[in-house]
Amino acid sequence: MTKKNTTINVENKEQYKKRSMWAEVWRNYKKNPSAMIGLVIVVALVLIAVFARIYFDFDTDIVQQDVQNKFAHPNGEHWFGTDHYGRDVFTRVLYGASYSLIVGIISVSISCLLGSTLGVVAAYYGGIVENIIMRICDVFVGIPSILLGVAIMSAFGQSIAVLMWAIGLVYVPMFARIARAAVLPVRDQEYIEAARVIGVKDGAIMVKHILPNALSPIIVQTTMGVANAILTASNLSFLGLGIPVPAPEWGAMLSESRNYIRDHGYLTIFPGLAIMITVLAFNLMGDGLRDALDPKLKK
Amino acid sequence: MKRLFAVLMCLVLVFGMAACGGPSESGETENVVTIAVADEFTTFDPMETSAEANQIVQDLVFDMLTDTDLTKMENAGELLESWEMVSPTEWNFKLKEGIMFSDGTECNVDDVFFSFERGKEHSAASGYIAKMESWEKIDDYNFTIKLVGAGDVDFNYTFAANQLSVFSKEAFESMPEEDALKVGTGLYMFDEFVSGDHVTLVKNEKCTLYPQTNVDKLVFKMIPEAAARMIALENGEVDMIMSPDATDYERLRTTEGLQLLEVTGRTQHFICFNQKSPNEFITNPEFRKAVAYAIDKDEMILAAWDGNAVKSTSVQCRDVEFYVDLEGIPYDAAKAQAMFEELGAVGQTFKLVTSDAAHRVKIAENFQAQMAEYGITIECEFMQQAALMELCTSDGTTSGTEIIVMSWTPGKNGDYMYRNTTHSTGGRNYAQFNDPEIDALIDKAAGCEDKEERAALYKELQETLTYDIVGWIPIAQHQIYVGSNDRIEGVLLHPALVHSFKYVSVVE
Amino acid sequence: MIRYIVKRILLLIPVILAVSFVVYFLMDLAPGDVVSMLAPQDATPEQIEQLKEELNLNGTLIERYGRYILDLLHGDLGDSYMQKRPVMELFAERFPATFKLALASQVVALLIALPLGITAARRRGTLIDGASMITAMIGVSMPSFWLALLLIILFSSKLGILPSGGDNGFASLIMPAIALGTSQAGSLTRITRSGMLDVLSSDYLRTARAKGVPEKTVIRKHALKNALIPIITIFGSNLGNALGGAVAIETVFSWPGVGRLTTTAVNQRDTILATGCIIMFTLFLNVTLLIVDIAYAFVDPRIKAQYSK
Repeated sequence: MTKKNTTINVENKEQYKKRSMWAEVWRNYKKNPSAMIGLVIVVALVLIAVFARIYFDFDTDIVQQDVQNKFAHPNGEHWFGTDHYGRDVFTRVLYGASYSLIVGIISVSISCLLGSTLGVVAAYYGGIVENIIMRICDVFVGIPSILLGVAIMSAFGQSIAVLMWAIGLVYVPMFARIARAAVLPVRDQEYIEAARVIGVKDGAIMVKHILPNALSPIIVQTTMGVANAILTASNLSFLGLGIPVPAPEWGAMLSESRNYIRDHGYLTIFPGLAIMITVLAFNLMGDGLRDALDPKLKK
Repeated sequence: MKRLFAVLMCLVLVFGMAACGGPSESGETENVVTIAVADEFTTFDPMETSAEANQIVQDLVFDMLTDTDLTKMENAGELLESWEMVSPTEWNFKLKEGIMFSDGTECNVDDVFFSFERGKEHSAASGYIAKMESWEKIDDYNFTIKLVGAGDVDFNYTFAANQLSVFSKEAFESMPEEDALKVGTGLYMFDEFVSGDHVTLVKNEKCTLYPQTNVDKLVFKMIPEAAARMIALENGEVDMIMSPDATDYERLRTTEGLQLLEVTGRTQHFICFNQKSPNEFITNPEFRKAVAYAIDKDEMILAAWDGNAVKSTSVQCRDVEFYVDLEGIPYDAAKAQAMFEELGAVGQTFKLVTSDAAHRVKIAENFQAQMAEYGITIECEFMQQAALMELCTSDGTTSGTEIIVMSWTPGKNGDYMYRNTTHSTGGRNYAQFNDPEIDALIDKAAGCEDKEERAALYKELQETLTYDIVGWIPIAQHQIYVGSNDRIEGVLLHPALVHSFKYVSVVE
Repeated sequence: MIRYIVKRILLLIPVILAVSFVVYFLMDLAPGDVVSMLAPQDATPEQIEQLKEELNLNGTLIERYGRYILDLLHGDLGDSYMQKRPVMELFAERFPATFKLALASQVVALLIALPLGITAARRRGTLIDGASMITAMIGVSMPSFWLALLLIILFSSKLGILPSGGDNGFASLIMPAIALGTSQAGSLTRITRSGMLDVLSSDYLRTARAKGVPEKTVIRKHALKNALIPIITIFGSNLGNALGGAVAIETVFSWPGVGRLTTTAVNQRDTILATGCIIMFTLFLNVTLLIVDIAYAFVDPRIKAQYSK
């Protein structure tokens, strides 16, 4: 790195540095095969989700029953077999990708936005504000997330929107803690003090000067968070409190398959595999990002 | 390192010991029968509950004054020898003599009255007690009862309620309540209860009301998952399973050593209309009739229960007294289509709510598919049972419901069937009836001493509700199943799920 | 140190109050109420009134919550609506099963994580390292209830060698513990690996090796000891996760634990039982974390020194 720096044109230094940080991250990331596998799978999943949404019609391909043809085991026509209504499991699993991705990504966006804001605000202002925010976070971190999710879903009814909010809110404290911990060391730095002295507004300082310090851990946590959120969502659906039927959410499909595990085990295998692969992909990506963003950590 | 390792080893040991210290199945000569149930047993006290999961167990420990004789499907005396209706408001009762409680005392009128008094204090029982104005002892075995208001010509049915189990007065006066609750006249006594796992009953050697069997212990094991129950039965962990899943019926029927027992349930499943809905189609009987013509019930039964249900044609449940086998409104797609077009219902969208129970979801989804063929859109919403119950028993004008997939499990007598569901004051008036004529008919039938006249009144109710008002469209009464191995025999199935295990014995 | 512990314990009070508030109000907000679930089908309006009286359900939400909080401050969690028994008693009855399961799952997690993590660290950078870490990550990515179903299909349904559910002795504990433990093993493996790496590159190990101590002894006697310290920290939060995550597992295996008790309570709108259970869960979780912190301090003198400052 130092060698390369010496060859840089001095006038473009600012611009180069910006580019170099992300380029460097990408360079590191590329070197990590498992991380690349994760990325490829995630991209493939997104494509599948979009394709399934466009190609399949919800009413005819996903929901419509063909009871005569139920429990057909995997064969040439139905790759993953058919379920207790005679619906094609392969189609449903493909279509289900969109639910998991949407729920995972949106709910984590909610927790990420709310959480990081709270964390940065807490760290920046300190004192009583920090105390209040962090104590509230402590309270929620202490409640088992699944049970809190169950209570929220029962209170507001089963729908995809409620599910995203329920999961999103459950993980807010975690993001707040991470963001706060990451920016805490910089809040007393001289350049922050300097910005304040020259009259930069608090909001601007937080966004421009403080938040960037927390970016790495937040990005890693967000990627891993999507994995967690997908698991939590499928867990809630499994308990009958997620996305209502007949939507082909993977957790709900697993839940439906429970009665048929004795003779029709394939109904259990495929949705579960889908969840596992998706979650694994996001975990691999998060892991790769962590190493790429902070090479010091890589051991 | 050593300290750490020691801590870890301790943890392993502790959990290992805790795990191994489970209940030990000992005693080679003991006959233990294990029954896997789906719902959780929660309480010994019959006056605290109306859940079948509790009643099925309590029924073995306590007896009522009357009970449904499951071999003949009619109300019969249990602790009562006989009764006589002097008038609808005055009844004479005679107890069987020589019935012993498990604590060795004899059951007499004092125990019955004590139980009535206790029932007043418990909301689950107080409704039945409130039907009685006074009770009076004649001697140890005879007593009379005066009923409130116009009385009840079917009062003997009231005594079949599990909540009116008879306790030992002596026991309640001499020991703490939790122990006294273990003293009953039944064939078994409570032995052990592990919340969420199992409840164990042991044989009451002192029981004289029922013949002693060769079963020493009955264990009710709570296994919520249908597939897990089936696996447990096949692996020999249990002898009998409640409510197997439809996919396992065939296996139970054909597998050597296993059997499938069935009875037609008393629960009627129906598609119900909120007659107070602001939607003009829903409140129009012609539209409701058209929907009735439109539904292919056979297909629905196939979808919801794999065909394992008896089609309903009348609003009245089949084994309720005075049932008349009406032809009902038949499936007629052409006629329905014509009616929908005339009414302008084609292209309309209606809301349907129901609970997330599997069969209801299946009925709703099938209904949705069937109506789509007439160009009518049904939007389904599934909610938890508690939420559905509240929504459907609240004021229909504001609840926002239009169509509901629901069910109703009546008692054996006609009044129970109609008063709760179709009387304007009924607590389960899901279809939001508010018809003075119907109310009058129900009240008249309830006070009518003459059996034939009463039969005529119930027939009239049945016909009006089925053909003219169509508050709900009856779909089916599903079959109730129990799976068992051939080690045991003698179980009697109950159409409302309170199966009886009193005569269960182990095949020698 | 004592001051720190006292402070942490005092901090639990607002936590408990907040949890009670959130859960109680969520439960009240939920459509449907326990009265319609409990009342007999043919209940009269008088019976419904009596039932409300019995359940102490009269008054506004604020009044009811006020009464609840007053009892709570006296250490009374109230009586369950559905089961008519003290919540404390019910929780105490069902908790051991959940705790046993959570503990067993931790043992499983350790049995998976220690060999994987140590191997990965010793073969750092090799294919074995990568394979170990991917294996661990697959474990984390599997929904535990899915693994549970797969185990039942194989061991109960196909092979018939393990009971499909219930809490009857050691055999019945195996599958739930594996299902729950596998998902916990991932983070544990990572910690073990990085802990080992730290230690393996330390000076004293180099000294030991230089002295000619055999590699096996180096790992067993010197490295593992220090590598295990960070595992304790994660053990606490993992145990907490296991407690909460057990809900689906308990359902699948008909395990008579508190997770199932709590979800049933929520479904039946048994506000008192649901709130009480979640409070107890939270309390237990926090106390576990506290104990872990303290244990950590005892194992690692450097941290102990920090507290006493």
